[in-house]
Amino acid sequence: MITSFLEIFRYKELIKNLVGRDLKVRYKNSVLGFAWTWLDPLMTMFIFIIVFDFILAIKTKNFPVFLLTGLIPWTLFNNSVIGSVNSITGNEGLIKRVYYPREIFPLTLVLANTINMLLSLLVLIPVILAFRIPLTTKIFLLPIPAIFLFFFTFGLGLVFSCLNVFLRDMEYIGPFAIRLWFYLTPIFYAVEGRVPQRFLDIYMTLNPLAVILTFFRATLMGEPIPALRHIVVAFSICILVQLAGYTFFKKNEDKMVKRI
Amino acid sequence: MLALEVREMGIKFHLHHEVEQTLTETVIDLLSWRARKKKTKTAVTNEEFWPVRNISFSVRPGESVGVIGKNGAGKSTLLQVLTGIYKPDEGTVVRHGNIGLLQLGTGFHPELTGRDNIYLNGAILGLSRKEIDSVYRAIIDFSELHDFIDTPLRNYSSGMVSRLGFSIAINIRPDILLIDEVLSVGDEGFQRKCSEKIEELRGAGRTIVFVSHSMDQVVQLCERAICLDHGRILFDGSSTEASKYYLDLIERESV
Repeated sequence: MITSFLEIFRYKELIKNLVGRDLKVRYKNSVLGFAWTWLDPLMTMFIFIIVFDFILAIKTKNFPVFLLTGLIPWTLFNNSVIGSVNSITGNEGLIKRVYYPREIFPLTLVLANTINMLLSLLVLIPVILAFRIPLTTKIFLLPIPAIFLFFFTFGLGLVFSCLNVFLRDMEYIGPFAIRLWFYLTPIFYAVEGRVPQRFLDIYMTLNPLAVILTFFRATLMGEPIPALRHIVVAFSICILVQLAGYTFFKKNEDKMVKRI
Repeated sequence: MLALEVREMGIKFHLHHEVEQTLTETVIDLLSWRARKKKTKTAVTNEEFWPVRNISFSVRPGESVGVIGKNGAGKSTLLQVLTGIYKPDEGTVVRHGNIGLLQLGTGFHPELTGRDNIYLNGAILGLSRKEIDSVYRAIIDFSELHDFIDTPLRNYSSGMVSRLGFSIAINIRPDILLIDEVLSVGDEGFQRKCSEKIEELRGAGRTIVFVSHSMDQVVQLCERAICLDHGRILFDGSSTEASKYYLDLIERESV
């Protein structure tokens, strides 16, 4: 398994090209082009501000910053997992013509979305300045939740992309499950004060994204980072999901190629 | 040493592949005892299908071998096994040297320009950026697409796309070149150019496996040919004899 894992590195030129293709094609034929990277989270942010700040009148401190710091990593997860559902079935033309490790397809997708996330983080700079949120040294911890988010996303992407070859229903189940997950994850609400104390451990254990996103947000807003035990559990789950997803994918790879 | 060595190779598909099982069916199958009973029954009748089986042959370096046979004889599947796209379910395939499958429209993206597609395609075929840089000019010259190279591929005609595909594949020079039915593209002038290029590669000692329906091309470009039918090798010998064998086979069946 390790040798097949190392095989990916031989294909770095292809991965670079495919990621480039993904990013280049993404906003092609749109007038605003790359600006959508920033407009997309901003527009979602405004919808939530209208719904929660005005209609439901639930007040959260520095709500725009709060929302964006949750929405941006969530978008990486959301777009990668939903996109990966089709990443094998949609690349049939390539898969049936040349051999290379097929995990490259979900991988390039997650990589392209990661680059997109890093770029969309730039939109935070003016917002953070406008709300006068002091930057703390915690910002240097930002790569940690980002890396684990990557592993978790890639692991699930591997499973979804493979499953969809055998069960095309994943195309419908995927987006639905992700939408449900969105509401279960602290994006437009904070864990604190929203999740009852006695459920906190279960909640943080069952939803690693809750820990990752709270951690992510905390580094940017200078808030307290989640409890160490929650972090350890969540990060172990991320690694486990990544390993299990990879093993599952590799085990079914040959069957999958014949089935597309 | 041999360039390609195939021993008792076979690949298996399941015919139920045609029917996509949806989640509802799976759930019903799992839940209902009757369906489960039925399933064990269908599993017996569930036919295995071997597009190619019991295939043994070897190719020496520098040899060019034609593969001929009717539609559905297993020619393309054989090439896909040779490149490693499918892992054989039986027997072995040993390759020495890197291998390139020349097929039309491998991994082109309609929204990208010809230039971007050359780089993407080169990477798909396993080249580094530097290596692509070094053959980039030759690819454009050969395809004669100078004026269109910065236009997105969706504006190309189908003939132009095939020309680009052929030019890329022919200019990256893998050790073993597998060619699947590509010489039928383009106008006569371009076809002649392609044949000449293949002749040139042959002269340079490249190993070539060439699938075609045109017996003239096979006889012209290969010294040896293999005739496939129903996934088995019926004839393996000189290309003139193989093509005669193949034409006889068609003759007999049409009577």
